[in-house]
Parts: sequence; structure tokens; C-alpha cells
Amino acid sequence: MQPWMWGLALGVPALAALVPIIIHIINLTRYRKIDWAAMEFLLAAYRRTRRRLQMEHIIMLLLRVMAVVLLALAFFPMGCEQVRDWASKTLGLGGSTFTGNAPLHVVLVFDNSASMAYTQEGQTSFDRAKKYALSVIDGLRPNRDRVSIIRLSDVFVPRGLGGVVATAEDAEKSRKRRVGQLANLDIETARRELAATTVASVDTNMVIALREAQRSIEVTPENDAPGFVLVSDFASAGWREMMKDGPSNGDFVELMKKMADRMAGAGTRPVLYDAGFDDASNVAITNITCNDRIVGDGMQSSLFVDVTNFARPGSGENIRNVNLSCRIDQGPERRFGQPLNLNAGQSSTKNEVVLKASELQLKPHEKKTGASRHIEISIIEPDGLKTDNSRSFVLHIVPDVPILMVNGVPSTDPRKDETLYLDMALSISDNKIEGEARDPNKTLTRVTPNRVDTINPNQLTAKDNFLDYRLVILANVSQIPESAVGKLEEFVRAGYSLVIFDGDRVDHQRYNVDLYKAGKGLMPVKLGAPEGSNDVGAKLYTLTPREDKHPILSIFMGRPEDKAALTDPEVIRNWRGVELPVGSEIDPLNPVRVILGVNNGPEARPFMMEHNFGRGRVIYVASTASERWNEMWTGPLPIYLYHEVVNYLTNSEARYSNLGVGETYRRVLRARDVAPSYAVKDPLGTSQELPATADEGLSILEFAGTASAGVYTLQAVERGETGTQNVKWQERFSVSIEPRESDIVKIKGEEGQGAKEAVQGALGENIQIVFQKAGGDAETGGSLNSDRKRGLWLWLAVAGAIFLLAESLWSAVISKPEQ
Amino acid sequence: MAELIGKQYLDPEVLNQIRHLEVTARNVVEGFISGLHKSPYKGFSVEFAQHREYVPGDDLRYLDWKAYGKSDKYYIKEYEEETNFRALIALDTSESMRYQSGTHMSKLEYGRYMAASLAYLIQKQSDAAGLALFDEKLYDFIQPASSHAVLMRMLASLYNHPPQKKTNIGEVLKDVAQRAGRRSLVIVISDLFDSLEHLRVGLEHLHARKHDVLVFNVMDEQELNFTFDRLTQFKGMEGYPQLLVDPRSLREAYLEEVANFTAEARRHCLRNHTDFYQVNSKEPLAIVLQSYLARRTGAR
Repeated sequence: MQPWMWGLALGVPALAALVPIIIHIINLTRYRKIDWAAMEFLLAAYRRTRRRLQMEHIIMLLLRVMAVVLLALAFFPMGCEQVRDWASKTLGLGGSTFTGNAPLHVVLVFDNSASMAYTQEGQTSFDRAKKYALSVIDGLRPNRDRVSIIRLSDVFVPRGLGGVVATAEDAEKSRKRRVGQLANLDIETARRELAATTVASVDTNMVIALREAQRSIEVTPENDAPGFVLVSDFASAGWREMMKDGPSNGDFVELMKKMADRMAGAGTRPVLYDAGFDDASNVAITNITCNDRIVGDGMQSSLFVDVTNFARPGSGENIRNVNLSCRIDQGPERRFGQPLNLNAGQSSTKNEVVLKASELQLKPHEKKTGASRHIEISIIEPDGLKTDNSRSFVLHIVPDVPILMVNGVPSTDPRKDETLYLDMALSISDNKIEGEARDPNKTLTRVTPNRVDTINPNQLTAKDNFLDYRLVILANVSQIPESAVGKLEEFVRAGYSLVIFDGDRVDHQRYNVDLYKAGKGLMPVKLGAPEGSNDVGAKLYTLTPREDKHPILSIFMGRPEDKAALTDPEVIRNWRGVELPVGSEIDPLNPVRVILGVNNGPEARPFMMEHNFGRGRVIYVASTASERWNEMWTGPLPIYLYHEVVNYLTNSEARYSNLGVGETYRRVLRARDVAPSYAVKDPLGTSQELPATADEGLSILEFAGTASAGVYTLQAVERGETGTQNVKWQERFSVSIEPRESDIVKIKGEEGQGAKEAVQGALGENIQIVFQKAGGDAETGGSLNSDRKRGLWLWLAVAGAIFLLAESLWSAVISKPEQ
Repeated sequence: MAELIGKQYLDPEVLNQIRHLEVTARNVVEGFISGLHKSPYKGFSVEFAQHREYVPGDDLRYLDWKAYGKSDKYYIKEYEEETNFRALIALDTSESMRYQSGTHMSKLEYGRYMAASLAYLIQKQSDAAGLALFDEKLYDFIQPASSHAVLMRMLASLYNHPPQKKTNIGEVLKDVAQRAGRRSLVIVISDLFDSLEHLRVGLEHLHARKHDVLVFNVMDEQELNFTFDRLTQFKGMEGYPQLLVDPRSLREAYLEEVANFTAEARRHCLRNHTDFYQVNSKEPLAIVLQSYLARRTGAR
């Protein structure tokens, strides 16, 4: 509100308050005079009741004043605009000269995150938020005021190629892009945009939105008055981190202070509107995981489901008998597991649903290409937030995982052949050792349906590319032809992987030149001289984890005996000394990770190292794949370890098949996948054509429009002989809302008060805000009009009228002389 | 001229309605004419009163020979003599009596009509009626007589004196008690707006002189009900100050004061064997007199 409006806002009621006083004074001069005989009685009565009468008169006068003031307050907002119009038209006071008539630039930060879909009593938080926001816009003056809408949860659809979200840093970048801004809209456009806004499936990005809002307010011209209105449900999901002691509290306070300071100059204050429900609770499926990164045809698998009861701990919102169901490809629904009893705030993790081999088996027409299965997990009993009552997971069933192995030292002697043991180990498939693979007591045995092709190094140059494989393994290859290096780099950049085993044949200097390239090549480290002893009877060393939480080591980090299977065997005789990248060789975005070390001293020497290259990964092992430099094959360790390596490196289908909302789906097209056209169908059934793009020589399909949760279908379409459109192949991928959006429990103050106190507590006393609450009794007036405020005015009017009526009744009936 | 002037207070309609009534003395009064009123002078009239023993000198005509035959003692038969009585009407003409509300007459006008009617009635039954007009003192006194000329004088006197000055009822009644002479019926017509202590003293003087006293407390409708409904400045009569108040807010307390005053006045009257009758000047005089006189006659 402008300063002059404040003047009116206070002046009009003050003038109104004078009216009854003036009337009272006038009435005191307008009386009748009569001669009175029984004066003695009258004087006696007057002396006896004088104090009480004076008090009554004062009270009556105050009541009248209050009634008139209330009426003035009630009708002021409507009259104010008229007064302003009159001043503008009659007195010729335009916006440029009359500061009180300055254009208002309202920055509306609107929370349309997934939690806003919470429903209570037939109304969502989003309904309440939208109603309020529209009323704010309706209260503005067309052709003068303007609105900037900042939506918290838009999905940014990048033009052209987008990046693949793989790291936490990438996720953060992606999240930042989800704040949508519509700047400087006229009233009608703002209204239209707001009316068209729907609940998104992504999370709340409050700090990013506030930063945008602060920027908008900062660039508001000096002569204009900025307004800031934030509409949210104040759910813990988006607000917890900004509360006192939260990691983003500093940003929150700083941004709000800047805005409040700028607005104070124009006489406005930040308005925060709470559209959420105080006693919200929500049971949600928060995560689905699958231990099998690659599921082969005919293998069975298990999914593990996490369920959480999002309610304030101790609130008594304990939920009994939560039943879960599973459905594959829209087939019949079946329950699994025992009913869950979840106390408020409690989670139940790893609820297993076993997917039988028969349920996952490829159909005849899928045997060649593989297929994806859509598994939908649901909570049978629905609650207020339906979007997280079910969650989809897509499993890719592959006929096999093609691996190309380059044997650096072929030999008819199995002990001297460089890849024979590795070939045999990786070729063990679920079909072959099904019984053992599914023995729950043998958790280390995990198999993949690998199909291994082995070639000699001199056949490398004959390969046009390696894109028919998921993984290439170089085993003790002396040097890589220059043309093959380029193709390998292209292969890895496309998202596939390379494993390099060392050995006595390796020309480490050539490797450093051709593959390390001073930190820019495929090799993660610079190679040095071999270490260890060449004596067959020399001491053997054990392996030791250097990064316990690396996915490759995850199966060893459970039970002590599993870890012992990795760290106890003394099997390493020789290894190559390496130098980790230093100085300019270091790529900060793709650091080298040392996964395993040789336990030969206080500081274990690197044994297995990894780094990202393009969109793929490269793992270097400082020893041989054969028994040339070690005695690993005397036990089962290499079977476990190298299966995990292959699993880790070939799981790109799984990685890109289950995404969060807003993440980009990306798929590299191999030669056999290429089709004339491609289309993607979203969960609502809307289909759109998806053009293939080229990235460093690779054909890529990329789709960033993952705005809705659900299952998307990607189809490659080709024209049949009769001219019909045939689906050459199809894949599915699921998009799920982020689990933190399920936490709809409202933030609370340090002493357990409501959101208002929590926000004010987080901001401190120096930043004054106006906090309004949907459906609350203590809604306070803000600087802008709203339905709630009008409701308040109405109540004031009614109260004033009741005062006047009561006063009239008192005068006319109660005190009426008896006849 | 005086006759013409005063006759306006003899309203034929009123007189027609009360003509069958009688003004009677509740106590014995002294008089000359046999009639309605008991005389303290027991003699030998027609109505037997009592026996008493003969004493030498008694008229032997009244000796009850039948009693002598039965008791062998001499008894004289005494007869009660009925006589005329004297009535003195004391009318308050102070300034407060000037008050009138609405369209009906002022208290003084009402009192004048009342005095004239009673005087007429008393003379009509061959009793003597006199008049005392007073404000802070007794300024006009007409000795009771049963002649028409006295009635005419009384009427002229009622007409001639405008209301003025304050009431001093204590001194006035004391004066009336002294000047009335023989025992009389003293009819006081006043709003009694004076100290009740003064009233008490005055009544005691009258009672000590064996007068039969009747008080008509004449009040205006507004003085009794106080139904004013808007801000009013009350200008006090008889030297009282003025007061600007909202009468609605004071009504309850005012009525309480009036009720207390009336009760106290009634109590003083009862203690002095005085009839107290509060009259609303809005009420028709004929009905007031009818109801009061009929009740008084019945109580005789």
C-alpha cells in the first residue's frame, strides 16, 4: 500500500470516529427546556446516579465511535479506490506526480509443487492457493499494475540436447531450472497464466524462487511500488531447510531482508499466504529399488519398497494395516507382504516383492530386442495425497549383455591365456546356475546374462565401432591402435564402458600417450613401472577397500564374512605403480576414484580405479585379468568382483529407465536401433514425435519433458511393406515424484507453534512480514486485497451494524419509559 | 363580578356527578346544626348514646325511670347530638403548583377546582366551609361559614391569586391550626413539595388541636411517571437550579425518589391520623372526588 493510502486508511476511520463525537456535541446544544416543579426529586436522583450515568454515556459514546469506525473500515477498501480515481481524474494527479498512485509491480511466488495436491474435505491446498492468488491479481488495477509470476515447480524443457542427470551436482542444476518465471505480465495475462497453472510433480525450490523474486523486485523501477506475495503450503518438504538452523536459512533471511528493505521504501510489506492444512498426514511410497541392475530373460528378481507415514511424530496419526499391491504391465493386481503398521513419522523399508521368472520372461517377439516391464506398486488404502500412493518402476529384461573382450595374450594354455578365466566367469548366467544364484545364503553370487565375444588386439582396427556392445574389456593389450583409440573414446562418451586390465605386455608409455593424454584420455591414471615381486614364491598381498560405499563393493560391505571374502585372500603378487592426476591433469567434474588398493603397507597402492569419460565410465585394474600377476583365480573372489564390475558398468538401462520428475531421458541409438522416426507417449497418452539428434557422431534420443509422474513409452516406428506404421521396438521408462515432496507435515516454530511463528522465527524480528492463513481466524490485513480480507471487512461491517443496532435497541426498547 | 369570576371553578358536570356524595368528618367535630356529623356535646337529642349515674342538678326529664325500677339506681339517659361541621380547605398556591404537562390543567388549576367543588359540596349539606390559601405563608384566610356569600368570596379568592413563591407547609399548617379555632375538618390540597419534616410538624400541630385532616397530594402526570424521552434542560421552580440531562437515564432513580417521598408522606399522615390521597391531575376531578368521598363515607 502506498503511503498516501496508509494516510487514508488511518485518516478515514479517525474522521469517522469524530462523527459520533461531533453528533454528541451538537446534540448537547439541541435540547428542550421546561420548567420543572419536582426538581428536588430530580436533583436527588441525579446526584445518586451521576457517576453511573456518566460512565454509561462514555461507554455509549465509545460504542458509537467503535461502530462507526468499524463501518468506515469495512467500506474503506471499496471507497479508497474511488477516492483515488477521483483524485486522479478530477485533480489531474497522474501516476508520475502522485507517488501514491505509483504503478504496483507484484511479484507472486506461487508454489505449485507436488505437495500442493494434498486434499482435505474435497479441497486441495492448490485450490486454496490459486483462489487467493487470483484474488490478489483481481485487486490490482488494469493498465497500470503488473505482475511477475514465479512458479516454484515448473519442469524446464531444454532446447536441443540436455545433459544427463547423474550426479548430485547435476540434480541441483536441474532443480534450479525448475523455477519458471513469467515477468511483467499485465493483469489479464497474469490471470490467464495463473488460471492455467496446474500442480507439478516436482519438488519445492524455495530458495531459487526467492532469489528470482528478489531480482525482480530489485529491478523494479524506483518510481514503482514493488509487492511480494508468496503462496505456499509451508510443508516441511520445501521449507524445512530454510527454518532456523536449516542449511538455507542464511539465504532465506538475506533474500527476504533485501526484499523487505526495498518494499519498505514504497510502504509495502512481504505477504506470505499459507494455503496448507495444519493437520495433514500422508502415507507414501518413497522409493523402489532393485538389486539386479541387469535382469536377463528368464531370471527372477525382487523389488524393495520403502513406505513412510509422513505425520508429525507424537501426533497420534498412527496408521494401521497399510496394504501394498503389485501390478505388472497393467495386469492383475496382487497383494504382497504383511499389512504395515506405521506410527507417525515412521518408515518401513525394504518391503520385498518377488517378481517370478515367468512374470519377467520375454515374449517370442521380444527375444531379440529385449523388453521393459512396468511394475506399479500401490498402497491399497488411498489418502489425501494420491500422487505418491503408487509408484512405477521399469525393469529392462535383456536377452543378454554383449561384452567384447580383447585378449592381449591368447594361449592354448588356460593358465597363460589372458582372458579365459574371465570369459568363463562372466559367461556364467542365471540360466546356468539358477539354483546357486538364488540361494539366499550366498548373497555374493550375483550373475548377469552376459554374452562375451573375444577378439585379438589386431582385430581391433577391423571394428567400425563398438556400439553393439555394452562393455569392452582390454586385457594385457600391449598398445591400442590409434584408430581404435578414437572409436573407444566415442564408445565410452556415448555412455558405455571400458575396463582396462594391466599386465606385463602393456607398453605403459604408449598407454600414457594414447590413453592417458595428460588426464584428458580414457585412462584414469598415469602408468608407472610394475611393482611387487616376480618371484613365484614371494609374499602375496590382500586387497583392501579404498572407497567403502562404491557400488561395486556394496555386496561385500554387508556381513563380516562377505567383507572377509574380499579382504582376506592373499592373492596379489604384482601390480603396476600409478600416478594419480595432479595439477592441470585433474578434471574436477570427473575425479578419479580409487575403489580398491593393494594392502602392502601403511598406504595401500591403488589397485582398481575409475573415472567418468563423457557419459560412460572407465575402470583400470592394476593387475592382470589372468593369473600372470596374481593368484586370484584360486578362489571365487574374481567371479564376485568382476561380475559386480560388469553389473556396475552395464546398468545404463536401469539407470535411465527410472527417473525423477524433470530428469532427462537419454538413449544412444545403436545401428540396429535406428528407425525412420521415433515417438514418446507420456502417462496421459499424449504422443509426440521425438527427433534423433547427433552428439559427437552418435545418434541419440533425448527427452526432457518428463514433467508428469508415470510411465513413458518410447517407440521406434518404421514403415511396413504395405505402408503401415509398425513399431520396430519400444522401451519404457518411469518418472517418479521426488519422495521429499510427500512430506507435507507443516513446519512449526521452536516451541511447537504454527507456520507463521516458524517463519517469523526463521527470519528474526527485524524483518516484518504479513502472514495470512487460509481458513484461519486470525488472518491479518496485508498490503493487497484478497477474498479473506474482504471477508474480514464484511465481518467488521456486520460487527459495526450489530453495535449500532444494539445501541438503538438499548435506547429504544430497554430504556423506553413504561407507560 | 366576583361571583361570575369564581363560578368557573364550579363545573356543573363535576358537581352533577358528586352531588349525591357527602363530605363527612371522620372524627367528631363541633357544630351548630344537627346533621351528618357527630357532636362532642352529648345532650338530649333523638339518638341514644349511653347511661350515666344521676348527679344532682341533672334534668329530671332525662332520668331513666325504667332503669331505676330494675336497678334501684338513678341513671340519666344521654343522647348524641348530630351537628354541622366546619371544613377549612387549605390550597397550596406556590410556584410549583403552576406546573402542568400536556394539555391537561396545572396542579393549581386542579386544586382550585377541587377546593371549589368541595366547598360547594360542604355548603350544600349545610356545613360551613372556609378557605386558606398559602405559599410560603398563609396569605388569605376565609373563616368557614355556610353562607352562599362566603362561597362566592372563596371562589373569587381562588381566582385572584397567581402562583408564586415557595412552599413552607410546616409553618402554614401550624398557622391554620391556630386560626381554625374550633375543631374542624382541614382539607390540604398541595403537591407537598417541601421538607417532609415540615409536613410532619404541621400535621402534628393540627392533630394536637383535634382537627380532622385530609391531605390531597396533587401531582402532575409527568411528575408521577416521568416519561420524557430526549435531552432536556429542567429549569427548577421555587428557586431550584436548572439541570441538563437525558431523562431516560434518570427515570428509574427519579421514580424511586418519588415513591420514597410518597411513602414517607403517607407514613407521616398515618401517624397523625390524617387521610392521605395522592391525585394525578390528569385524572378527571369528578372521578377522584367520587372515589375518595365514597370510600370515606363507607369508612365512617
